[in-house]
Amino acid sequence: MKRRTFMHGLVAVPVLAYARPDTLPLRRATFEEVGSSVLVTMTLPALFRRYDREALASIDSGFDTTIHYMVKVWQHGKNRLVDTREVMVKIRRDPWKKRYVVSTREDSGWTKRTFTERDDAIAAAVKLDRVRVCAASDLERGEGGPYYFVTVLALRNPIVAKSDGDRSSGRGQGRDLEWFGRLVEVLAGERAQAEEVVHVKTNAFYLVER
Amino acid sequence: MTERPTPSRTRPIGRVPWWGRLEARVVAALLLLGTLCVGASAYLVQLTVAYFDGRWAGALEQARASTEDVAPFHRDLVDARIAEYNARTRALALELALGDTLPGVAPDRARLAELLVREPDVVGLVLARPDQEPVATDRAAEFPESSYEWFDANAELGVAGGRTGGQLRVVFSIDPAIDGRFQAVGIRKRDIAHEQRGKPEIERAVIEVIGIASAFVLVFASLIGFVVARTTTRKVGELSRVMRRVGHGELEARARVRGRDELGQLALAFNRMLDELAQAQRKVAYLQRIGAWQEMARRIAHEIKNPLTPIQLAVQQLREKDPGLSPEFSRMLRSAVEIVEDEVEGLRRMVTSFSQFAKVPEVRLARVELGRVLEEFERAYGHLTEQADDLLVVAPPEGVVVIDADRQLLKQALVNLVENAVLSAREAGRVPVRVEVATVRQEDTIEIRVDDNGPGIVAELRERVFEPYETTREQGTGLGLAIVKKIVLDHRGEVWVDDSPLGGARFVVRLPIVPTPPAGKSSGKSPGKPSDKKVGA
Repeated sequence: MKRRTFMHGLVAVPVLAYARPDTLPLRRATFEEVGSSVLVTMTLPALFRRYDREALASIDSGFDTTIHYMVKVWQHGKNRLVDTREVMVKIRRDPWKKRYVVSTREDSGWTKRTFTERDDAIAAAVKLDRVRVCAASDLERGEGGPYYFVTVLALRNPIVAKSDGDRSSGRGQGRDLEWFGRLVEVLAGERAQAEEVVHVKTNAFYLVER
Repeated sequence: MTERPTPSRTRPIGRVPWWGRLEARVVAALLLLGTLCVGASAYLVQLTVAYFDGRWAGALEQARASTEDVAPFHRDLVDARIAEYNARTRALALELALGDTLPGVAPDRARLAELLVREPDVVGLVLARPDQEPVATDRAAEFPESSYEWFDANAELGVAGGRTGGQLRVVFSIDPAIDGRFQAVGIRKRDIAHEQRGKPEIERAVIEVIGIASAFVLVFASLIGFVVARTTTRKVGELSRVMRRVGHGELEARARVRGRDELGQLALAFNRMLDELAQAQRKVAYLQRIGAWQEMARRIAHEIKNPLTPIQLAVQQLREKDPGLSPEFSRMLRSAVEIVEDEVEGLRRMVTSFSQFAKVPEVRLARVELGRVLEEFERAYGHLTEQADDLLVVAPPEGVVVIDADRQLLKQALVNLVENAVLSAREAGRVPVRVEVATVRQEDTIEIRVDDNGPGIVAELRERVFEPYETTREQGTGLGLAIVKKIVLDHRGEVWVDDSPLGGARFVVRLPIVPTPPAGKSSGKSPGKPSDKKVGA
C-alpha cells in the first residue's frame, strides 16, 4: 500500500465515522400544538412483550416497574437538538386495592391512573399520551420547513450505576483492581442499561403558519 | 601405486541459515518458554475464574430466590393488614352501635372525634346514617405527604337503641415502611437479575483482559528476550567472526570486549591469546633473522679475518724493506703503510665484533638469584667509564627474586645495555653520564630497567634499534642491542625501549620469575638499597 493511499484512508476514517447512517427505527407519532406547547402521542409496545413472563410477573408481584422516557426534539437535516424532556412512568399492582396503578411524572408532577386489568395498565404505561415535548416558540413555523422529529429513548427498569467505593482505594492492589475493573467494563461493552431498551425516532413534523 | 588423498575430517563452515543461528534459536526458545508460561498461567486463571464464577452464580441464585421468597410474605402481610383494618372497622362500627343503646350518648361527631384520637393510624371516619347527613372527621393534614397510601374499610352499624344504624367508613394510613422495604427488595432482585444477565459479557471481558495482559506480557518478555539474546549472540557472533578472520591469517584482528560477563572475559582471553601468539611469532621471526645474521657475520668474519694477517705482514715487510733511496718514496710508502694498517685494524675490530655476534653462545638456563647477578655485574663491570663524574647506580631487587637465567649471558646483556647508554650519552655530550639499573617486580615477572641521561631514542626507531646493524650512534656497530634482544628472548623474556625520567632512554628487560616459597628459602639478604658507585673509582 502506498503511503498516500494509507494517509487518505486515515483521513477518511473520522469523516466516515461522523457520516454514519442513522440506524434508529422509525415509529409513527402524532403531534399537536396545544396552546404554547407541542404534544406528542405515540406508543412503544416493545417495552413489554407478551412473552416476557418475568416482566409481567414482576408487575403482578407488587414491585414497581419503572419506565424512563428520554424525549428529544431535533431539527431535521441539521441534527440540531431543540429540547429534551424526561418522563417517568411507574406501573405496579396495588396489593391493598387489588388493582393496577400507573403513575406518571411530568413537568407538572405525578399523576396516577388505576386499572383493573394488567394489559390496560401496560398499554397506558407504554403510551406517551399527549406528552409535551417542547414549547411551540422553540420551533420555526412554515410548511416549507424547517422540519422536526423526535427521538425517544425508553428504558424499562433502568440500571442505576452504583459507586464503587471499595475499588478506588488508589494504591497498590486496590489501584490495580480499579484499572482491571475499568478495563473489564470497557471490554464488556455497553452492557444493558435497562431490562429493556427501545430507541426510536418519529416521523417528521412542522408547525403550520398562523 | 597412486596415493589416494585422505578426506579432510574438518568440513569448511559455510554460512549458517537464519534458523540455525544461535540468536534465532535463543529467541525461539524464549518465545516457546514464554508462551508455555503464559498459556499455563492463562489456563490457571481460567480455572480460577470458572471456580469463582460457579460460586458467584450460586450465591446470586440464592439471593434471587430469597428475594422471590419475600413476595408471598409481603402479600400475606398485606392481606393480614387488610383483614385487620376490616376487623377494626367492624369493631368500631359495633362500638358505635352499642353506644347508640346507652342513654345520654354524645353526638356522632364527638364520638367519631374521640375514636379518631384513640386510633393513631386512622386518617378519617365517616358515619352515614340513612336518615341523617353523613358526619365526617379527619386529620389528613397530620400525615406526611410521603405516606404511601390510605386504605378505606367499611362496616355496617346495626340498628340499636332506636337508632337507624348506618355505615361507617374508616380511612387507615398504610405504614409506608411496608411498601418501602418491599420495593427495596424489588430493586435488589432487579440488580441480581441484571448481574445474572451480564455474566456472559463479564466472563468474556475478563478472559479478554487476561488474554490481552498475557499477550502484552508475552510480547514484552519476547522483546526483552530478543534484546538479551541479541546482545548475547552478537558477542558470540563477533567472536566467531574474529576467530574466522584469524583463521584466515588476519592475526591483527581483535574481538571487541563488551561487558564483564563470561563472554567479555572470553573475548579478553582470546585477544590476550592472539597478542601472545603475535608476540611469539615476532620472537620466532626475530630469532630467525638473528640466526641468519649470525651465520652471515660468521662467514664474513671468517672470510675477512684470514687475509688480514698476510696483508698486515706484507705491509710490514714493505716498510722494513724500504731502501731509503728516495725520501719522497719513503714518505709515500710510510703513509700508505699506515693507511693500510689503520684499515686493517679497523677491519680486525669489525671482524672481532662479527665474531662476537656470531659466537653468542646458546643460553644455558639455571636458577639464579637476580640480586646476586646484579651484584656481580656491578662488581665486575663498574669500570665501564673512566670519567670520575660518571655515575652508575645499581639497585638490586627487594627480597629474593629467583629467575631462570644464564648468569654470564645476562650480565653480558646488562653490559651491552649500560655500554650503549654510556656511549650514547657521551656522543651526545651529556656530561657527567648517569646510568641507573633498577628492578621493578610485577606479579610474576620482574623488570630490569636501565635508564640513562643520553639523547634517548625517538619512537619511530625504538623497534629497529634491536635489529642487527641498526644503530643510532656514529661509532656503533648495531650489534650490541641485537645481542641483548637475542639473549633476552632466549630467556623467555622481552625487551623494549621507553622514555627515561633521567631524560634519555629506558631499556626494560622483563623476565619471568620462578615462584619460590614465601619463607625459608631466602638468602638472608635484605632488600637491596641502591649502591652508588663512582665509575672508574
